Amino acid sequence: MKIFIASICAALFLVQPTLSVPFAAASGLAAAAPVPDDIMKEYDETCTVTEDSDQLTKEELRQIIARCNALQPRVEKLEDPARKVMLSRIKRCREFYAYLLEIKESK
Amino acid sequence: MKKLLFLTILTVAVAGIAFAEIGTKKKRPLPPDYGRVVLNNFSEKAGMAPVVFNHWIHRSKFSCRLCHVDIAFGMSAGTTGIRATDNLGGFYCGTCHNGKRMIDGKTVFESCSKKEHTAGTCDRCHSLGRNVKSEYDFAAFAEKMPKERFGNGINWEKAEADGIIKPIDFLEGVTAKRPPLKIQKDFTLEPKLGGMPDIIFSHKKHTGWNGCDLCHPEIFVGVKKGSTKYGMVEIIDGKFCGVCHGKVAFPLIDCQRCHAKPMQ
Amino acid sequence: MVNFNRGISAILICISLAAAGGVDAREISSPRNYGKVILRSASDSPVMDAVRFDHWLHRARFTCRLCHVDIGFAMEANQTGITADQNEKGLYCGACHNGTRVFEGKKIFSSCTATRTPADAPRCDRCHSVGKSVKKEYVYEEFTKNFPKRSNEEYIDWEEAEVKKVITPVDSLPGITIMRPKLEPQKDFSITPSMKSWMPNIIFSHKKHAVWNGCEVCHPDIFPSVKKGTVKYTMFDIANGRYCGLCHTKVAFSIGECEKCHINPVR
Repeated sequence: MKIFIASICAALFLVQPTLSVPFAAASGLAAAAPVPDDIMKEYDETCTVTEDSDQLTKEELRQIIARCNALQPRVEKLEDPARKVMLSRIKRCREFYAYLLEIKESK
Repeated sequence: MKKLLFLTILTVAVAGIAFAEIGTKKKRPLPPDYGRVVLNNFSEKAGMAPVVFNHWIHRSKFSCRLCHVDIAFGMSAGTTGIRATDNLGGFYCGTCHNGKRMIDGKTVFESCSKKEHTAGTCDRCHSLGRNVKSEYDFAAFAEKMPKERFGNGINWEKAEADGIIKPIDFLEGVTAKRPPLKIQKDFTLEPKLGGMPDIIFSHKKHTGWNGCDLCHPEIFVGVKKGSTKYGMVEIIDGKFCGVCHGKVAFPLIDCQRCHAKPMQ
Repeated sequence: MVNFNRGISAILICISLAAAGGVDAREISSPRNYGKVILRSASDSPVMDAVRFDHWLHRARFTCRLCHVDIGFAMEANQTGITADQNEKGLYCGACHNGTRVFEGKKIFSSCTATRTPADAPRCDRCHSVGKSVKKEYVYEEFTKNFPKRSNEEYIDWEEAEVKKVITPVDSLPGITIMRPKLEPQKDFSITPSMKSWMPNIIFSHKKHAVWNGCEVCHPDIFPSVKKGTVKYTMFDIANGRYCGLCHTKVAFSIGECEKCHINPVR
């Protein structure tokens, strides 16, 4: 039994490089879908509102964070790589506003 | 007694492993090689040579923020996971390397192109282990730049101050249009260990290249100065200041660049 | 208890010295050979003979910092990976050995030119001398004739040589060095051996080390700048060429001279 399992593992190990190639081929070199305009617009409007950070009130910051939170699930539905890149941008943007809010609340 | 001996040897061995990198001196990369990143998430599996990305040419043309925030490149080799499809879709490298965008009056060559499947085009990036002649010669480039110790041997700050380089911080269609944030003041950090001069940290300089959201809150999470505690060990380990300083920005061997406050 | 610890310490030191690549640490080279570095080409069939670099000549003229920090030489043989091309471009050896730099009133001979003719052979042989009988321009015995030596051995006392101004090592060269404001070296301090042994405490002098090394040779690579006691190392590590052993097994005075470090009077 042990020998059987060991030989399966060995076989899988040897086959592994060839297993990955079909996956690479499947993803192919087809151009990915771009980011839909409405999502881009919402991202621009949300992450653009970065006037003098002292001028943003705590309530305004909370609203921006809420908009980022609402935008995230919409972006989750996109395909990679648009999904990957937009999620990373929105995450960074949202966390930065949360950071600003924390600074204001700690004062 | 035997237990004590065993524990001593074990402690020595473990300490040795934990500090495996310390106690020796690695070879310092030559100026052209400083800031070199090798990317191999998928290249070898797809039958290509791994990608070699040298920071210096992009560093002279763009701010750190543009690539690492707007285009969303990771801050550590291999963390982005760039695929040929991503590039062809106009993301990551493909944001500019699409055969259409013009930078400095030249069209930027297309990455992962389906059209020009000649060996020459792919090799420009997929060059690890291959003798590829690069289009931009470091020696010729560095000759025009003000000199500095270590790293690339280039004083990037002075190059910008003198107008020799003008890093771009905004790309149409990529960067969200925004008025600049108020820049935080420069401040002093006192090293825990006495004897070294205080560190002068310049927010102004760092926000020039990074904006705010490259460092906050991902690298520096504390909201109050002093709330995040770290020392040279963490920095050497590639955390906090060490995310950049040691790999791309000036290395940690240049003590006085940070420990700059004149001693009283 | 004391006897047992002595025994353990002795055994561990012997093991570590033996483990340090055979008998190298115990078998100290003769004075003229101490600090020699053999640099071999990475290729299996090199074009030139291996290079023999003797530290003593450069040590008498330059600080460790100038070569190992400013010029960027690695601290172990063959780790730098110097190529003829790099020398020719003014890197590494070529930073000085370029046929134009003048030092002490003489032009320094150029290393590794792109073209090589039979007439160049004597110049190449000055460095690529392993396996050949080469007449050197500077002979150890003659050059170090008036240098203070350590008692009953003929090893040079470099510290004394500097104090007596027999040598005045240069710490910066134009075109190579970019000076920074000097940092104040830490005070000398005492290190207690972690294994309670009969060996006296070590007295470490930052001041002396900083004269030759500045800060950057050791910090933060060899010794991370942290609270004393954070990084633990033993004679094992030192004999294996780490920490103090990076220099004090091959180029600086060797660990065979216990009393140079373990200075504190015996308890």
